[in-house]
Amino acid sequence: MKGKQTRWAGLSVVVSAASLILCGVANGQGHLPAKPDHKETTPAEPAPEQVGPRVPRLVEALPDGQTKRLQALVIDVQGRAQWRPSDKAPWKNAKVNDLLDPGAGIRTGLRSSITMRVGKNATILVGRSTRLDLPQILQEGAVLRTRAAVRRGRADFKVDLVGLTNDFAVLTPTTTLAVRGTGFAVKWGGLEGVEIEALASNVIHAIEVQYLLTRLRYYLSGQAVSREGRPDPVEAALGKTVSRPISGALSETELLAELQSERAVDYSRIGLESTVALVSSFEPPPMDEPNGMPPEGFLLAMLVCDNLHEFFFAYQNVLDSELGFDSLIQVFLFSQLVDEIQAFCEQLEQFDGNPFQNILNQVTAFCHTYSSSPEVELCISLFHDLVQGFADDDL
Amino acid sequence: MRGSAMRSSVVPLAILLLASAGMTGCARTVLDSSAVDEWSGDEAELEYWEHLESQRVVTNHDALHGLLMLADGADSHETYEQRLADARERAWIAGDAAPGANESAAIGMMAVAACDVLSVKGGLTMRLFGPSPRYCTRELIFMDILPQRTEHQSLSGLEFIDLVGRIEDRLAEESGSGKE
Repeated sequence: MKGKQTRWAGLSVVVSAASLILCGVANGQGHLPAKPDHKETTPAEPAPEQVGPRVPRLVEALPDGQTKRLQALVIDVQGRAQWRPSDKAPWKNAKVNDLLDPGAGIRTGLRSSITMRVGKNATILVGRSTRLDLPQILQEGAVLRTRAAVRRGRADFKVDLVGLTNDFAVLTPTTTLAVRGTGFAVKWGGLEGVEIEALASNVIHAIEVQYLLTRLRYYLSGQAVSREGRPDPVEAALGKTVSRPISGALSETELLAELQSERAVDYSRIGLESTVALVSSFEPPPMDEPNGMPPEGFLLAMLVCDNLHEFFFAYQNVLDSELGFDSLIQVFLFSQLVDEIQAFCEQLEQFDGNPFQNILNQVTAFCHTYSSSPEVELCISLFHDLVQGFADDDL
Repeated sequence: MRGSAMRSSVVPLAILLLASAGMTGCARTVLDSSAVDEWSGDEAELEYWEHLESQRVVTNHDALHGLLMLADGADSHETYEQRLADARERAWIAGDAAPGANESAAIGMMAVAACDVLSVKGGLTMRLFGPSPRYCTRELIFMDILPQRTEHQSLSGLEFIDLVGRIEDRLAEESGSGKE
């Protein structure tokens, strides 16, 4: 009885450890504590003091002197909202997935709003009875330059830190305000002039997530038809002139804190860059001939498989929802990969009485697939120790 | 001699100027037409606000259209008389009052409508005697919806749009759907 309890306790440790390793590998940044290194090393130069939070580069800079016009993408419409491409053009009713070029004007009625992803770093929620213009949305080298003019009404501006310089200014009839990497709401009216309020961040996050989910359904429903000759304009714009909303993305610092505190992570919140790197480097471990597997070994193998499957399944959703048309091939390959892992695990289930060494070999192979990761040795030794512990306990 | 003659001609002129200034001060501005004359349907709501924005004063007709849209989400009336009758039923306008359609709307009338929409109970006077232009205006000032104004003043189109927006914001806050 005591032995069984010890075994189950050990198993729970394995679950935690496997989750931890998978997450550490996924990030490729070494979130696990580094193995002690006894070699003498020259003390490194002290790092320059960093001002403000470390910002991951989510948007690539253009070469110096190069300019690119960006666009705004409508991601939510409530009530009556219209837009026009220029001052002289007729107004048209706004709908989700409309693409607006610089120079566009927007207006809303009572109890109405329109939310747009503007360029590569901002989301604007245009509130009730508002007139707003977007005279400038462009990228100049490493600067994202946006001008939004609130003629009347209320608009919430959320400007994300994407690794480039944000030059985002809000113009009103009486003032000009700059947003560097935060957000606020601006109200301008005839009675009180300009008023600054707190950003409706929860509302904006909810809209962003809802839009991403809509895109997810779009892919899964099989309607993602975009041909070279007649591309879907939204798919063509996403990632090129408009970035996807980054609600739900977790900074590495936050991720590490979450790992350390709970040892459980919502994988879908890990950054896209790490996901793509992981997908391109992963190969399922080779299958050896089964030859008698004790129950613990079987459980350990299943644990690895289950975690891998859940892990990749979570990433599949992220890929589906976040990647644009250019990455559909990656998504397809990724789906194949998930199927292969599933087949591998299903095949394992049929093996009865596989020796520990076989599992160890598989775990080693699994760890070695991440040869570029500094955690390989730690991964192997951790799994070896745990599996060996089971073996000693059982045999 | 010359000075006293000049004085005798300037004094009556000054009195005449003062009298004419006083008379026009009591009268309300009248426009040729209201924005709602051209943009009255629900589909034309955005055009209505757009045109109202450039009006130097908001007329009674425009104010009632805007306030009815705010109160009900839509204004199904077609004429000023229908809107006026509806406003009387809601006690926004006293039964015996007959403001002209293109006359500038008084802040007091708009404040009474706002008190009704926001269900403002007010202080002792309002609870005893009901909502009045004077006390509703003071309530809206207290609630930071209106800046310091009196009930007889008028609003420009841009100010009226702002007032309606501020009332809507307050409604959203009170219903719990305010911005977070």
